[in-house]
Order: sequence, then C-alpha cells, then structure tokens
Amino acid sequence: MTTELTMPQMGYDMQEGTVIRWLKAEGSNVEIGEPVAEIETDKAVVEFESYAEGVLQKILVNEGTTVPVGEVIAIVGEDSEVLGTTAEPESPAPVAEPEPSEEETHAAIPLGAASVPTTDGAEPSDEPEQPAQSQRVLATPVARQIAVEAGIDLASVEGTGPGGRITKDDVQRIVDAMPEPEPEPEPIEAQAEVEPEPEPEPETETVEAQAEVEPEPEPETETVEAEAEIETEPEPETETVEAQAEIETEPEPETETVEAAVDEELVPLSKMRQQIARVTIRSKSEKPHFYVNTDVDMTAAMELRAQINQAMAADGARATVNDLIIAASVIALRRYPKFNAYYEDGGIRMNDDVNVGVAMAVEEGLILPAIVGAGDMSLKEIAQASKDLSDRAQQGTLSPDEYSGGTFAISNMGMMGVTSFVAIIQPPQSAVLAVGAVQKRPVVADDDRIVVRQMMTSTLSADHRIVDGAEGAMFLNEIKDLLENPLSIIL
Amino acid sequence: MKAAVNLEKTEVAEFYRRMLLIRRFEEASARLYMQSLIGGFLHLYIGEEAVAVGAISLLEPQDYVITHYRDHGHALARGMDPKACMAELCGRATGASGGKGGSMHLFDASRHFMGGHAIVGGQLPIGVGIGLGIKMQGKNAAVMIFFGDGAVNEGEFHESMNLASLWKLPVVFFLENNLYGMGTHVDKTHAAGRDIYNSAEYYKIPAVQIDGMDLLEVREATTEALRRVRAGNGPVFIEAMTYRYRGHSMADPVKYRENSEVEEWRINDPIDRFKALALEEGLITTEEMEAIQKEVAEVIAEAIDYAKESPFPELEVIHNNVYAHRTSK
Amino acid sequence: MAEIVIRDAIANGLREALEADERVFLMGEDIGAYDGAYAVTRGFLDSYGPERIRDAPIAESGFVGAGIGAALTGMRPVVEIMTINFSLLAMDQIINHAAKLRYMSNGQLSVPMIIRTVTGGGGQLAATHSQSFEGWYASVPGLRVAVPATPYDALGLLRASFKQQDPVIFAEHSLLYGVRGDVPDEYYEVPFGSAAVRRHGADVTIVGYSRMARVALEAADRLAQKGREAEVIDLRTLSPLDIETVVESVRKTNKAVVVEETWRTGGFAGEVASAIQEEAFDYLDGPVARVGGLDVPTPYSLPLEQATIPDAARVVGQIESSFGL
Repeated sequence: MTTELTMPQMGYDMQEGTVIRWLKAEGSNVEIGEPVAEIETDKAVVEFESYAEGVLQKILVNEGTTVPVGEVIAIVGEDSEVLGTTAEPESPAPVAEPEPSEEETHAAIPLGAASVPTTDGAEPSDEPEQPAQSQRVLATPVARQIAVEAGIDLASVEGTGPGGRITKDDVQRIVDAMPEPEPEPEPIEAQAEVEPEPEPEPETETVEAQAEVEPEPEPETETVEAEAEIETEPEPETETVEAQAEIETEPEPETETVEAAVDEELVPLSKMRQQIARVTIRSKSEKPHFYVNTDVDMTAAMELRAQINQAMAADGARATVNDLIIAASVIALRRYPKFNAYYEDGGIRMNDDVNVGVAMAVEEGLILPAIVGAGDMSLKEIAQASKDLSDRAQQGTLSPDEYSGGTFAISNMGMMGVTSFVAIIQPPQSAVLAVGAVQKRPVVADDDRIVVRQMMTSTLSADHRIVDGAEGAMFLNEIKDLLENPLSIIL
Repeated sequence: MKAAVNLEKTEVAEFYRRMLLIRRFEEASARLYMQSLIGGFLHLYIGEEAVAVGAISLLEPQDYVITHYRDHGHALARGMDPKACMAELCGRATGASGGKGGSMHLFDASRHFMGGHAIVGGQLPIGVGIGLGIKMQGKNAAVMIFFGDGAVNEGEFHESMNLASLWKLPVVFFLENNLYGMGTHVDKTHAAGRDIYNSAEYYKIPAVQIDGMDLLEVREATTEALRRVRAGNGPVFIEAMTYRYRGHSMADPVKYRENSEVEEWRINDPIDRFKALALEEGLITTEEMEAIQKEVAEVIAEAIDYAKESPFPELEVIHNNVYAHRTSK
Repeated sequence: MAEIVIRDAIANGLREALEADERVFLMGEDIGAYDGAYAVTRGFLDSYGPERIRDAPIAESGFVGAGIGAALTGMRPVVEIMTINFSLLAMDQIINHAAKLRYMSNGQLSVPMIIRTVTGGGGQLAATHSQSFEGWYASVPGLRVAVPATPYDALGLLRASFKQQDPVIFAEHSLLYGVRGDVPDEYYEVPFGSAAVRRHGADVTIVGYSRMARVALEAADRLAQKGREAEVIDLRTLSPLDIETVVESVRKTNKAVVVEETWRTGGFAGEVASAIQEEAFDYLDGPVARVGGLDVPTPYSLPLEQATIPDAARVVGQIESSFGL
C-alpha cells in the first residue's frame, strides 16, 4: 500500500507551493509528523510533515518546482521497492516564471511577435449607438405590453408622460378608440385623432389579461444532463493539444524513468509550449467545459464543394471542407450568439463580430489565428481568407488581431485521419468545434437500408458558465443541418 | 508539579486518555487540512491540553462551557463525540452542526457546550448571559468561559467582567494566556503586562494565575473557583499560563518567535509531565498507558474514516435553521 | 375597543408578557429607576422588581450579549437599546452572534430575544442621534425586524414577537410614541410578514413603514385634493418582507414610490423598489421611485433637519416628477 503525499494546503487561500528542499531522500524511512520537505507558500517557508509512514519511495517534484495544492509530490510506501510506473502521477510540469497575465489571453503569440495589447475593438462600438438611441421610443413597460397586445405601433403614439414618455394612458386611449371587432394596426394614426372616451373599466381588464403572459423560462432541466456529461468526459484532454501539435518531437518530461536523475534529462519547454501549457491549464481550470458531439452526413456537402471548386477554378480559388464548416458555423453563430461571446466578470460579453479561429500546426507548436470578419464573408471570401491565413501563419506574418481576436474556433484533424476528438477552448472564447475526417461509413438510412455515406464526427466543447448542454445541442444541430443542406450555406 | 496523590487510578487514566485524544485529534486534523479535507481556518490546541481537560473535568452536566475558536480541545474535553467533531471539520452532513459551523464553531447543546465562537471576545458577554439565565432560574450550575489573551483588549472583556461582578453571576472566567494573539506577543498588546489576572481585581473578582501546563494545578485552581462560584459569591478569574506549539492557524508560518522558545515550553509538555508523574506515583502502568494510546489511535482512525465516508450535506438543507420556521416570505 | 397611544400599547404588551411568562425579563439602560428614556417602562420597576426590570450599565455589547446568553438558557429577554444609534456598539453581538447561532449550531441553539430600540430622527438630536438602521438589520439572515406605525400594530407585533423563536429587532419611532389609535380589548396578534393596505387607490402605490407610513398617508391626502387616489402600504415588518402585497398593488396602479427615512443611498427602499421592478416590470407605467433622507449626516438646525427627512410635500413632488401626476 502506498500513500501519496500531496502539496499541502497551508491556509485556505493557498493555491500553489514550491518545494524548496527535500529533507528526506528517496528510500529513507519517514514517520508521521516527520518533516520531509520545506515548502514555500505565498507567506513563508514551512516544513511539510509527512502524514504517512513508511519508505519515501519516490520524489515526484524537484526542488525549486511549484505545483498546485493537492498535486502529488512524493509517494510513501510500506517497503523500499523501487516504484515503477505504478503510480503514474501527472507530470510535474514546471510552472514558468510569472508573466503579465494579459499575455495569457493571446496564447499563441510567438516570442518574436510584438505584444500588442488587446482591446478587441470593443470601445469604438458605442459610437454608432448614438443615433439609434435617439430613435428609441420612450414608453413604459406596461404601455409597451398593451401596444403589443393591440398591435399598436408605438412610434405613432404621442407620449404625455415626463420627457414625452408614452404611458399606459396614452396607449389605452388609442385602444379604447379602436373599433371592437377588427383591430387593424393601419388606421390607428387616424383614430388617434379621435378624442377617446375615458373608460376606466376595460383598462384594468387588459392588464389582468396580460398577467397571464409569463416569460418563458430557460430550459433549466437540461443543465443536469449537461453536468452528467462533464463527469463522463474522457480525462486526458491535454493529449488533444499535444496531438494537434504534430511536429512536437521533444520527449515529454513524464516519460522519464524513476532511476534517472530527473534534473539532468529534463528538457525545458519552449516558450510556445509554455504558453500552450499555461493557456490550456487556465482554460481547463477556469472554464467548465462540456462536450456535445454528433455525426454529420457530408455527402451533399462534398458534392457541392466539388461543383463550387469547378466554378471557382477560373479564379484560382478553392474551398476546403473546413471552409464549408467555417461558413456553416458563422451562420449558426449568428443564430446562437452566446457561442460567439466571452465570459467576463460574471457576465457575458457578446461579440458583434464573428472571427473564426482555425487551429494550425506550426513548427514550434500550435496556433489558433482567426479569420477576422468571417461573419461578413461569403464562402469564397472565407476560402480565400483561410488560405491566406494559413500561408501567413507559416511565414510568421500574422497580425496581433488575428492572433487574439478569435471569437470562436474550429479545430480540424480530418487531414490526419482522426475520427473524432475533443478540443480545449481558447480563452477568452467560449466554444470550439473539433471535427474529424470525412469518412465513408455505413449508415442506416431512413428506410432502414444500410447505405454508404460520407460521414464526419464533430464535437463541440463549450463553456458551461454561459451555455448549457441543450443550447450546445441546438447549436451543433444547426451546423449539422446547414452542412447536410449545404445550399443554405451559400445562398 | 503538584502531587497526584488525591487522584483515583481511574481518573488518572481518564485524564491521560483525554489529553492524548485531543493531541492526536489535532494532529490528525492538521493532516486532513493539508490534504484539503478540512477547509477554512484551522486552529490547533496542541500544548494547551491540560487546561481544557483539567478545568472541564470538574464540571457537572448542568454546568455550561463556552469558548473561542480554538475549540476542539474544549469540545472533546466536554465529551463531544470525536466522530461528530471530525465530520464537522470536514464539512459533512454528520458533523456536529451538519457541516454548517466548521472548526471554529463547534456546538453540543446536549452537553451544554455552547460553542466555539470566532469573533474574538464575542463569547464573553454571552457566557455572562448564560450565568444570568442560570441565576434568574435559580439553577445550581456555573458557566465556564474560555478566552485568550487576545480577547482581553476587547471592550467586551471589560463589559463582561463588570456585568458578572455587578450581578454576582456564577461565572468562571478562564483565561488561556498562550502569550500570543495571532503573532503579536502579549507584551506588545496589553499595557498591564502579561499578568492579566490583575485586571480582574478592579472589578472585585477574585483572580489567580496558574501553570496551565500542569493538569493538577489547573484542577486545584478550578476546584476552588467552582466552590466560590457555586456558593453564590459571584465570578472568579483564572489565568492559566500556557502555550501552543503550533502557529495561530495552519496558515501561520510562525515567524514571530524563535524555535528555541517552543522547545523550552515543550520541556513542560502537559502530557509528558502528567505521564511521568503518574508513572512515578504508581497510578498508572506502562502497559495501561500503551493500551490507552492504542485505544486513542483507534478512536482517531475511526473518526477520520467516519468523516471521510460521511456525505456532504444535501443542498436542500441550505435554508434550514436560518430561522426556527422556514417562511416563504 | 380603546383609543391609546403607541407608548401605552407597547407598555401593555410588555406587562402582558411579564405577567404571563416568568421567563420574560427586561434589561437595558435606564428602564427601571429612570422609568425608561421614552417612558415606555414607567412604573415597571415597582411592579416587577429589579431582577426582571434589570437596569444595565451603558455597555451595549455586554448586555445584548447577556441577553443572548440568557435566551440560550431558556429565558425570554427583552433587551432595550435606548436608541438604534447605540446598537452600533452591539452589532457584533446582534449580527455575529444572535443572528448566527441557530444556523451555525444547526438548530441546537436558539435565541428567542427581543431587542427593543428607538429609531428615527426629527427631534433635532443631530447626526449621531437621528439615524434609522432597521434596514441594515433586515438584510441579515437570522434576524426579524418589526417597524410598527400604529398602536394596533405596536401591540399586535409585540405579541407576535414574543412568539418568535428568533431574535427580533423591534424598532419604535421616537416621534410616534404619542400617536393615538384604536386597540381592541380582545386578544389579537399582527403576524410578521404581512403588510397593511392603509388606504386604497388606483393611481399610484406609496410604500412606507414606521413614521414614513404616516407621511405616505399625508401625501395621499394631498394627492386626493388633486383628484388622484393613492394606495398606501405600510410594510409593518421588514423581515420577513411582504412584497406580495406591494406587488399586487403596483400591478393595479402601475406606479410605485417607496418612502424611507434613512439615507437614500443603500437604503431598504432600494430593496423594495428592486423587488417591485423584478416582480411587476411589465405592469410599470414609470420608474419605481424612491424618496429617502438626503445623503447627509442629519443636521441639527430645524430647517436643515426638516429638509433632510422626507415629508409629504417631497413625496407628492416625486410622484409629480416621476409620473406626471
């Protein structure tokens, strides 16, 4: 039997600690209460007393290394057997020296790129709101309700309340003057001229009737389901990212054997890998991910793509499957804008622009540049933009906006023959779509025959703080519907 | 060290057992805290066991105990179930307060253990009120209020001594002077110096200062205090000089004192001293002690298992006991 | 049926409890030999003796804590804090202890204690003696808060307070002790959490409590002269808060103004206004308005003080500017 010694909690506000010095060597005996290491918390260096007795079989965290509270730092067992791979703890990824947190928001900026502060264009947007505001009709909530019920255009009503606000009386006056059987909205203006008779009685009636109109609550029951999904989610998420960074050739620190002197063979992470590590850890610890997947019949889409490419061949343009998916996502995002939003300070920041990030493997690792303005592009424009983006990514000439401006992302591993996978959301985004290869698969058709179709499995990862499983399902089905009826994408 | 001659053998075994239980409980709590099974603040009583065990061992069931947030020792000394206690520390449904109070707020009304209270000095007026209730109802009981040297600079300390003396209430003010209010030494916080018991004289409350590391001296002083209180002569004040080996809480890196100071106090460790004396006077045998150690270890292991295996409270209890009756309004 | 003043209504309720239940006792500053700073407990010392009419030193935290402790042993203390301004010295005991013990002990302990205190300004007592903190206490889970405005309610709520198993802040307004009203001879209680509709009307709802419930009635009279009928709601208790009665009225009148004596910023009126817009948004025919004390320490000089505390003219003015009525 072995006991894992974990980075101790030394105060409710402690989140991580650094092993300053091991006071016991591997193979030595430890007793309960005996100091085994010096741990540096954010307040002081303290001695960490073992809460297990036996032999210190394995030290998992090197001196000078910082790990979160609760992470296994050593293993104590009953005998001195050398511990093999039995208790494979997570690799003690060294936490990189602290850097300004702002940089973490655009993870993929390579070292060379200028770190431009991200003000994702939120500020200038209040300019055009000005004229809109002056056009807004001032009316009280109850007046609006009555107007909706009676089909009255509030713009045609004169407000007599403070500041010209349309009040209940103003609308009621018109309602009362309306002919009983057919309340047509058109002649109202004219009728407004008619002096209405003050009839207090029906006034209250109207309000009572409206009491029945209750706002539809959000489908809350779905939350539970989605939560259940979280529990069943496959554990090693980080693998996905590693896999995408296909050019990764460096040995992982965790592959080291127990006997080896850990220090000597530890290959330091590249800056990009450190960034990826930071961003993925942050995403997975801050963003409660949930996942929804579905199979998409791409047969029609593949045919259409072939036609389109023929048509565009003259222009030298070419649309990929991924471009179709981007185009479908853009439409779906307009209908389900929460998947295009950011979670911020306990609220949801909606993004007007749809900038679709596309995961790309580059030499040093993985980047996720965005097609800025994808929301306003035709399929052809998307195809051109994504080709351009990919070229410039390889050349390293992407703009900071493209690095950090994504509002949604797509990660496609189809070209690698992957059937399905799940992706980690890139903060501050709230969702990412992971798509696998388009493969011929046997499918049960509507008439129960087994047919061969070109199928693609797509998996949505989304931030549970702003969306629920049911919404995820609707959004994903929207994309599926679009791809299965691909004309709707280009029309 | 006082002579133990007046003690029965069974009492000796019981005192040893209780002090050891508290120490092992606290050590176990620290381990569970480091493993994040206990949250929030955790204040350990290690080093001060003789005070709680010595003083509370002289109380009758109808007497009351009220104390501060370093309350595990008093709760266990008063007979609270270590399982309920540990489960409460771990925030479980089976905890003494169903997981709503935590380490600093242990309660066992059935044993007249009226709580750990986490606002420094806050328990003093309430303890006085318990004394008032006892007196007005003509009950033959006393209340023992534990507080630390940190509390004596609060206005409530003085208000409480004044009220208790003015109304001649059956209150034992029990000061556990462990020399530090968090990390600040009493010499730096109390103008009258560390002999705080002198302040009681101003309020015409008889007061003594004792060695809080000596269980027998604690018992002797408490016996006398209770005699006076039960005779209806009003409150008494005991200042027990004691020491906590650990920091103020688990988060305390203890930068404010030298390790040598801790070592000096450890020489007078209340459990070691009592053990040595009892052995010397033939009131306990090594075998008996070993049996007790084994039994305590089992009790602690059981408490830990119980806490770990107990469920967390169901969310629907969250609104229970805000008021006596849940109202829809 | 008898017409009595609020002072006597409360005194009657206290005597009734002292006689019915020997666990009941009074404790506070100058309640005995002095006969009570506001003469509510006049003659009590002679009737019940110094044990049960217990003069306390000026040590608010000490004697409020003592009340909690006594309640824990089964007594029914009525602790009197001379004015709510001094309750600040006992806030640790009220909020950190009285309000928490039942919850933190998971129901093992209960604190059936009434804290009687005097709230409000208007007596030229200046900034430290003219405050209204009952709204603060109403925001604390575990406390009940009663704010009577009539002799009937004062007696009925006090009786209900003695039935509570939880600490009650019973806030009496210093300027209302002399207010007269009918009180039935037969026993009755006013339940906590039930607001009273003091006046019916269809044009606007005015919500108030304690002295501001009376100011609201005055404002309604003035509106009536302009041909507008206001509905006036007296909350009677702030915890529990009977928002249903308020919302029901607002759904009818479509307009609401909440009047409160304390500072407008962070006042309890904000809570009520917020609840109204949450519960009756689609019925509103204008913003939910608030009339509160000016955000200044209450000044001493009479005209300044009068300008600080809401009165009927300000309520009417607010209704005009918010709703054009």
